Amino acid sequence: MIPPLWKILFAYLYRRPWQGALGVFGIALGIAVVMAVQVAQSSARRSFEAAELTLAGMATDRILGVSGHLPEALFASLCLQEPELKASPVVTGHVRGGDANPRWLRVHGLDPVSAVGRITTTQAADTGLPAFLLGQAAGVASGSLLRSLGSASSMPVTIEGPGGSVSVSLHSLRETDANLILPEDLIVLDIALAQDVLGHSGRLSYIDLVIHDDAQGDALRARIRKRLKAGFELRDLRGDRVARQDLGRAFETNLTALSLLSLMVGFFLVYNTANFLVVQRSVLFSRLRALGVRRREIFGGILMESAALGALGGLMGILLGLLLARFLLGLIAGTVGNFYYTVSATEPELTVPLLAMLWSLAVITSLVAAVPAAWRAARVRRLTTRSIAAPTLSWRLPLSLAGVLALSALLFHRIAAARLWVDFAAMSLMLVAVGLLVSPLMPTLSGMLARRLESPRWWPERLGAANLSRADNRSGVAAAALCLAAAVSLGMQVMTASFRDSVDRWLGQLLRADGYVSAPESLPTPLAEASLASLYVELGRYPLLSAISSVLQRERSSSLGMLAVTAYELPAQARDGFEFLSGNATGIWAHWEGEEVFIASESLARRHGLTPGATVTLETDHGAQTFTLIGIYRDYASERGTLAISRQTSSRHWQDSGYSGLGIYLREGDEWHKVRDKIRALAGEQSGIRLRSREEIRLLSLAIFDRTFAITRVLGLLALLVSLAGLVGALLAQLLERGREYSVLRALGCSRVDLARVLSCQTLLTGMLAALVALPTGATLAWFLVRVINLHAFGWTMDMVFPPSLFAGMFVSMLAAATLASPYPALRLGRIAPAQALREE
Amino acid sequence: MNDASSPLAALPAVVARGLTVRYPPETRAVLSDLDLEVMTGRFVAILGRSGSGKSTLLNLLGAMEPPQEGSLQVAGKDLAGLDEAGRTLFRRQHLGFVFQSFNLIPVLDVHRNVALPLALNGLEDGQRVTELLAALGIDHLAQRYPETLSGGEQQRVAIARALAHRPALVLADEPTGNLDQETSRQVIELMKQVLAREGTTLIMATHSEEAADSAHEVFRLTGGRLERRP
Repeated sequence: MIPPLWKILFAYLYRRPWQGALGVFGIALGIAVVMAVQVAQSSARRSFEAAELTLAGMATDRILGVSGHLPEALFASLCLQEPELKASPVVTGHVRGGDANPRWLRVHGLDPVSAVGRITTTQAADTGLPAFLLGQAAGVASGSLLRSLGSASSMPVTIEGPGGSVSVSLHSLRETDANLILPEDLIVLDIALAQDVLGHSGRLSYIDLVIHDDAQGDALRARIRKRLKAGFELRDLRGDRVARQDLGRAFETNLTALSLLSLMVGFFLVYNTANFLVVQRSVLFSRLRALGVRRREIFGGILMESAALGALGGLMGILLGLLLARFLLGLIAGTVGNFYYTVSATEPELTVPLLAMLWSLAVITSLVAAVPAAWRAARVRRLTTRSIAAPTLSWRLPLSLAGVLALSALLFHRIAAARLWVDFAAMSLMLVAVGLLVSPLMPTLSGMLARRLESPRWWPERLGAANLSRADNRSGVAAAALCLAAAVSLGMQVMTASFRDSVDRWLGQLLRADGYVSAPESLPTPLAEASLASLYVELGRYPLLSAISSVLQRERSSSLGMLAVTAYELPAQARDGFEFLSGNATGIWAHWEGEEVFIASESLARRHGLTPGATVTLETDHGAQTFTLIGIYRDYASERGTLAISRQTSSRHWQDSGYSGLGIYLREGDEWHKVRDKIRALAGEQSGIRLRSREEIRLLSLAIFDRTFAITRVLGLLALLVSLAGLVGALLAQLLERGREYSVLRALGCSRVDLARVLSCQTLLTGMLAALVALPTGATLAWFLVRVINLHAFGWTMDMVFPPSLFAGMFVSMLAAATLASPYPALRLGRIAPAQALREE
Repeated sequence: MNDASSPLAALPAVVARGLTVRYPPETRAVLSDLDLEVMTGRFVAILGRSGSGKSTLLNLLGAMEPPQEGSLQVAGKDLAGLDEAGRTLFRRQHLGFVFQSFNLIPVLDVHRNVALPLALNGLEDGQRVTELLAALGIDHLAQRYPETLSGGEQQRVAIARALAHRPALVLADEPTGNLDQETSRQVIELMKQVLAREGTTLIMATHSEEAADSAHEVFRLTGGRLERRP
């Protein structure tokens, strides 16, 4: 049975639906943004995980050859020596595929009998496994690849590799199974067929193993390692997988934190609603108290009411979030795809636990936001005839709370520094502290302004300012929400600007060559490296160049796990491009080529706690080799970081003849575009190599940077929109509450334009006062993001810039948002009839 | 705005002929063929029970709604010919209002509440406000806010506000409805004195026979028409 008090509370809301609408709206928008980000992120992540599982199955370890290949006999001997071992040989490579428009495709050749938990055993019925077993020329690909090749499922497609061409019948994966995803450029073949096409007869790319994570498993790993000769290694796949996902998670944490900001703005709107519902009904509560209703019943009733509003807002937010998720998925997938892993998800995925979590979040947020109001309602005196004072009047409570929160943030951060969630928790506490200060600041400042507007010409503005000076004005909390949204948006923008400026200056210093050469992205890496290698030889004969630099990127096994190792060939001009954060440049270059030393990018050094003098052991063609760190350099290319050695050092330990990129240094007086044409002719028109000037590379890099941060701008904008909605809602609620005052003004001869001026002044002042707090808060936040969060998340230090245009832009945006908030309420206000002043007597 | 010495003083402040109002238009008339003439400077009371049409009549006299049928002149101006903006300007310049619930603006102090009609007309006259507050015996409350005043004090502030810009006509709707008997008597007496001194016409709608007794003329509104009380 519903308690009578609840019936009274709900009857009040039923008769005044607009009173609760602001709270429902706030929580709905907040939840929508959180949900959209969560769903889009989890869809992108799940796509990646499913693709990994589809290809790597349950494999826990991998045997690799340092040179890139293994003899097929190794697999046979392994099976003989360890009969219980679950092992699966794999051959990988590239082929040209498609009859109409041939394109480069990746090939995975699997052994259908020994494959460890991959598609071949799990999807036997749907993917053409019987054809494999019969030895027919068949393969598996994603449906989208088949469509792009213009082929229907099980139709033959011609593929051509180094070993020859063959017509393969490609079967598509069942697309409805979200657990099985193949990248769009990949086909899976029987291993024997793959070896033939790729020209890898008798050779494997690697052997996947499933080894249990227990003492027996450890013993097995030790035995396998013992049997492997130099040039082969056993790699732990789980560690690599976790490391790769961890990198993506730092990016995800940033997005989640941003989305939670919208919920925080929504929290303020619910807090606002709950407080005003209590202030409005204080006389009712006093009567109920006089009739014998207990304090805890009133307290519980208010919480119940807020929870009901939160539940409704949560449902609305989930529906709205679904629409928003479709939009955000594209942005998130784009960024993740650029830097972390390939995703092919195009549809947001919903799970019952996620929906339940979001709905609970809405209810809990609403409950927490209503606690102060419920406490006040429970303490109302019996039979009072006056409304209880609005909570925004007192400075003492907000100041104390803000102080406690700020102190907690500081302590929190000192105690558990360098953890991302701690950073965000400290930042959130600081933001809430600032938000708490805005509400009482508003009446104080606007009251001061109202007293200064004495001229009768400015009476609407004076009245507007006086309205804000009232303790029970709704705009205080709306201003706090606007302030928070603007502060975070500005903080993100300043951080991005600082980051962009640092990257731009870094590129300016790093890019010393006049032009850069790279192979087309569509070309398989070995072919691309080989084509650049032959061009390198040609350029060596070209008499008109001042110098050539080169770079070769490799994934290498090390004592720190898999590392990105870059081998640089650096002429004197190129060496000036390195900015060392640690170590002496002259000393570094003296040891660079002749000794077993390396330099580390800043993020690699931070991630692994490396300082000059530290050593790292790398697996080389000749066995393990230890290298010593002699310098740490600034590098924003990858948050994972790079271990850099000279090309000469690389050549002493690995037989690599390829190049990932070349830098061209012109002689003085030569022009890039002329030399570029000659180099292109040298490489051959069909090579498809890319020649870009220094400026083109710079612009391209900055364009990728801007794309990466597009999502943060969108989230900042969404938070601003939520707060704008809060401002409109606050004004509308105020109209409902004070309709009588406005109708009296109309009766006294106040025109609609005058009333619009009153409202505009209110909203503009709200925007200005919110900006007054938001701008310094945004600057502080930017400092925190750059100096603390980015450092912990990505391992990058950067210089701070505070572009005045960003601050001016945010100030104008806040005024514009505030201005936009007034037309609709003003329209509603204009409809208030002056006769209402008499009619409601 | 009115002045006791202006030519308006010799004219009727209100002339209504054949006023008829229906809500909605096709239903029974709230006011039916109503005639009224009030000379400048007079204090007229309109008695009537709840729902008799008192507020409707005040809406018409107060230029809040245009007359549906009949003619209505207030302070020499034909209200039927005014559009919404014209009526707003007319109210601002020529009318004052005293409401049952006082309806002071809570964010303005007493002085600024009284000065509001002057500000609406682009005027600043602190002297006038101070004089009115003194005349109504509330000059010591000038810096106080409405919520800190008693009902009687608030109504005196409302009377001062109604007179601040020297309107031709003050309309009072149940001005003593929220006051006790003694305070009601004091407020009516004070209002009468100040209005007489200002030469302002007052039309008061009330259901209190006692309050109406103070008026120069008393009309009873029944069946949509006004009847003069003997």
